Amino acid sequence: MKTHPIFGLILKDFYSIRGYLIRQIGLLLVIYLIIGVAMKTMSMLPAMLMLGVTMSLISIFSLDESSRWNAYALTLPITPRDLVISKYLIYYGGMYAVGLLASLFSAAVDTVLFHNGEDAVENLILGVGGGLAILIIYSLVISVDIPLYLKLGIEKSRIPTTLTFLVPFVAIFPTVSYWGPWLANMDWSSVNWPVVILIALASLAVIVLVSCRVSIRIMEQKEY
Amino acid sequence: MEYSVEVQNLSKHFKDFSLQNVSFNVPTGTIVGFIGENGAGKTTTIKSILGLLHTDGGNIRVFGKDPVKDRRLIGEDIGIVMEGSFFSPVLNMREIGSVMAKLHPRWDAALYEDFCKRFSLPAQKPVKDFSRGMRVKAAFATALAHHPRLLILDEATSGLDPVVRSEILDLFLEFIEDENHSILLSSHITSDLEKVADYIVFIHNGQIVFQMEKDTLLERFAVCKCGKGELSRFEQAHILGHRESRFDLEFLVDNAPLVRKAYPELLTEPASIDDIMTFFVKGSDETV
Repeated sequence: MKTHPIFGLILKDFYSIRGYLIRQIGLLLVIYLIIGVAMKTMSMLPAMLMLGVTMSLISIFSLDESSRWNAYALTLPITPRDLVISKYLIYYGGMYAVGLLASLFSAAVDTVLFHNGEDAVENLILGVGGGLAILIIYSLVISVDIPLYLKLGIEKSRIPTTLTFLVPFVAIFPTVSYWGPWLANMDWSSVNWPVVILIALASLAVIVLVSCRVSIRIMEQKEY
Repeated sequence: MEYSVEVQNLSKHFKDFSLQNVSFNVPTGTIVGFIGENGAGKTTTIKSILGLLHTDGGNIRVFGKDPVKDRRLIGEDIGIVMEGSFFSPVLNMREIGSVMAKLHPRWDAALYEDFCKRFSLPAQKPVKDFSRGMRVKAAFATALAHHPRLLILDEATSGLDPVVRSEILDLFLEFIEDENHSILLSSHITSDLEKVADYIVFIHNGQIVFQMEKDTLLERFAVCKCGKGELSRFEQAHILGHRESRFDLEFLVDNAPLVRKAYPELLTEPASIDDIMTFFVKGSDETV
């Protein structure tokens, strides 16, 4: 059966990092399960697993660079556009799959271990909602990072991409101290959450599409 | 004559190096050896042919198509072996085969397996654990399993022992048995080219010095030896370069039949491709 080459590229990336990814996820799972049991909450698990997956996926760029894969790939029936789209699919696909699964898992563990099997729906909504919020933040970060990796290479982009991860976390503290009282007094039940989520996801989709277009342009302009 | 690759007046400028009006072609059904010293412009030319660089001028056609605009179509018909550019070495041959089957519409899994068996390439061992020779064979198995019409090889055989090189050269000759197939082969190992090439293209300082049939080249070029100070005596010799040793003087001519006839007493030996390259590169500054 004839498939689009993008699927071949995704498979290549999966084979490249499969072992490393499994080890990374396994290790983080064990560490944060232990921490979760000690703290009587699994809320940290999805965030840390997503961070772990994102970091593992960076190694795809590193492996591609060291094996000069892009130069080789572009002699196959593949375009720079295919190379870029496959990277976005594996990055976002991997992160969302792990993020959502980890959110469901942590909500289930929370319910069973720390809530005596009660409030399952509420825990699920909180867990998935929290996971989705983290996914949106990571998605924004990655939409900046992928073009940086492609433009500068892994070594040169190390500092700017580290900053893109640090800035949202550092920014949380002054934001919380300034807006905290207002947020605490806000009537959250009046918020139309479906609309808020829809707007957030639509905005994110636009940002990711723009990032993808920029990355394609970078790859088309690049010399190999 | 049909051409698999046509390069006309190709120019590419870097800060410290330029390709200038590079023109040559790869006739269909032939092996073209691409020679030149390190930094002469071979890899830049090959990368331009593959659409990996943005050229500053000229025209390149691969099977009559543009290497950048028609990348996908050309990619179906070419096989590449480039030194140091391949799959991530953590993959094994089975995984590479599965990936290539999704990347190439004409991928022949049975042929790929045949090549892996022929080259004794283990299916499950990561490429990083292969020897240099095995890695090159892996690259060839991958380059050939989609029935390409053109092979482009950039220093593919360098660093290999004579046994592996001989196996690879046999592979070239098998490949070229089909008259629709062609090979552009850039190599420093000129003895290999003498064995298999039909044409030689010589590039020096970013410019093509000549493209010539190998047999004509070896017939026309000769290395002559004479005593020091005798060089001016050979007026009819078209001397391209010379070098002095402690006792005598050697010079390269490109009109060997005439020189042999005009100066039967002169010691002349057929020039190897290595000789021609060395005289051109080292002797070009001292050309008489």
